[in-house]
Formats: sequence, structure tokens, C-alpha cells
Amino acid sequence: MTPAAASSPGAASGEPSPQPAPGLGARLRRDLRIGVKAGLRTFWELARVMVPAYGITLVLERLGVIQRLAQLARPLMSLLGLPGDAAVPLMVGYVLNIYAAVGSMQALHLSAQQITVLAIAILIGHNLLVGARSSTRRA
Amino acid sequence: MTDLLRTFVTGSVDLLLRVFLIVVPIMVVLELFEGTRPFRAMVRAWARVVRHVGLNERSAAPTLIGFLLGLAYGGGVIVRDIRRHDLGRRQVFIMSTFLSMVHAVAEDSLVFMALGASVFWVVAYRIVWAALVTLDLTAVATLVVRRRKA
Repeated sequence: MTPAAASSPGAASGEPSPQPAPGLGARLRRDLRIGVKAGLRTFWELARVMVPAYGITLVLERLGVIQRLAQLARPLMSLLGLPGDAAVPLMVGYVLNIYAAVGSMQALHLSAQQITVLAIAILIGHNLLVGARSSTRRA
Repeated sequence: MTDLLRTFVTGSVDLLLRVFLIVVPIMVVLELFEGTRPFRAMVRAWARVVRHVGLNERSAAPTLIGFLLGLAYGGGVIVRDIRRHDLGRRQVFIMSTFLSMVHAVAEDSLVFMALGASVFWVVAYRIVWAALVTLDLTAVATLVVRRRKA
């Protein structure tokens, strides 16, 4: 990590930010280079944590963990004014992602108000395995 | 078993491809626009908002990106700015806590809007909730750190 940071082009050439205006073409090329480099490094870092978490998630799904969690959360749903079945998309969202959750919401018949409540719940917490791993790596 | 493995491989490739195709262009575009006046004005306005959860001006830009684009796609900017500005553990803690609850407002809102949810309430509620939790957790973390030092 350190050698990459030390060889960042801005630091190497010793010029401070874009003040001296080295011409648009040169600036574009420099920004492009920095951007691609930073993008690739980030991509690698994210990939390293996301892929294993994704694998674990798939296994949990296959083992029926989501269904079991939904069964446990069922009684809590009435507190939110939602039918017990709404626990399924919520848990799908927690373990998988919002797209999977949206998919399983389609199967339920919810009012606009219930959809909004469930959307808030799912959006506050989702994809918890991949997310938690990514953010602990970051900190 | 083999079909689980196949799902894992295709799913991973799909995930990585999407992250790659979005992260790299975002980093390039940001590198181009970061110095411009409209971008700075936007960050300053946002800084005045997130100041209330304890984030300083240098943390405002990565927080804004994460807030709008999400953690997978904004993660690059967040990691880069934490390193580049040496933001410190306290700022990183606050930023992670806050962003873990509100992020990707642009994409998520569109998805749930398609289902018929009220975007205003979803976004407003998430921001308020995230702010409250962040303030609480920061207070707890501050206490813990202080006690450990004492």
C-alpha cells in the first residue's frame, strides 16, 4: 500500500493541485491516470472482501437460514403494522441485498404505506454480511 | 453443490464486473470535477449538514459520495480520501456508522419508488435515524476511549 501511495503522480512531480494550469489535455491525461489507478486499487480491495462474503451468503441462503430468521422475526412485524409474511423480504434484505428483497416483496400484497415502512426497514439495514466485512476492512 | 459453485462464480463475476465498471469511471470523473467550483459548493453545503453528526469539512466529500452513490461504488472515494487526508479514527468511525444506515440514496430510492414507496419518507426517515444512532454510538465510543485512556 505504501509504495503505491508514495508514487502518486501529484506527489512525485511536486506540483500542488491544478493551479499552474498545465493545459487541458495534460490535465485530463493526468486525472485519467490517477483516477484509473485509484479505481483499480479500490476495486481490488473491495473484491477481496466482497467475494468471500458473497460466498458465505449464498451458503446461508441454501441452508435455509433466511427462512428460519423470518420465522423468528414474524411476531415483530405487527409492531410495524406489517403482516407476518413481511419478515421474509426483511430477512432476505438483511442477508442478501435490496434487489432480492424487492423480488420477494413482489410476492406479497402490501399497501403503499406498508411498502414505505418496509422499504425504510430494509434500506436501513441490508446486505449485512458483505457490508460489515467491507466496512471493518476500511476502518 | 456444483450448481451452488456455479452460482458463486457467475455471481462473483457479475458483482465484480459491476463494481469495476462503476468504480473506475467514478474515480476518473471525480478526479476531474473535484477542483471545480460547483462541486466545492455542493460539498460545503453538505458539510454544514453533516457537521451536526460530528463530521468535519474534509470528511464531507467522501460522505456525500457515499450518501448519493452507495458504499460499493463510493467506497473507492471513501478509502482514497481517508488515506489522502489522513482523516483519523474518530472521523472514520462516525462516517462508517452514518453511511452504514444511509447510502446509495439515488439508486435505492429509484428501486423502491418503482415498488410504490414514498421516497420522501424513506429518505427523511433514514437520515434522521442514522443521525440519531450515529450521535449515540459516537457518545458511547467517546466514553469507552476516554475510560481506556484513564
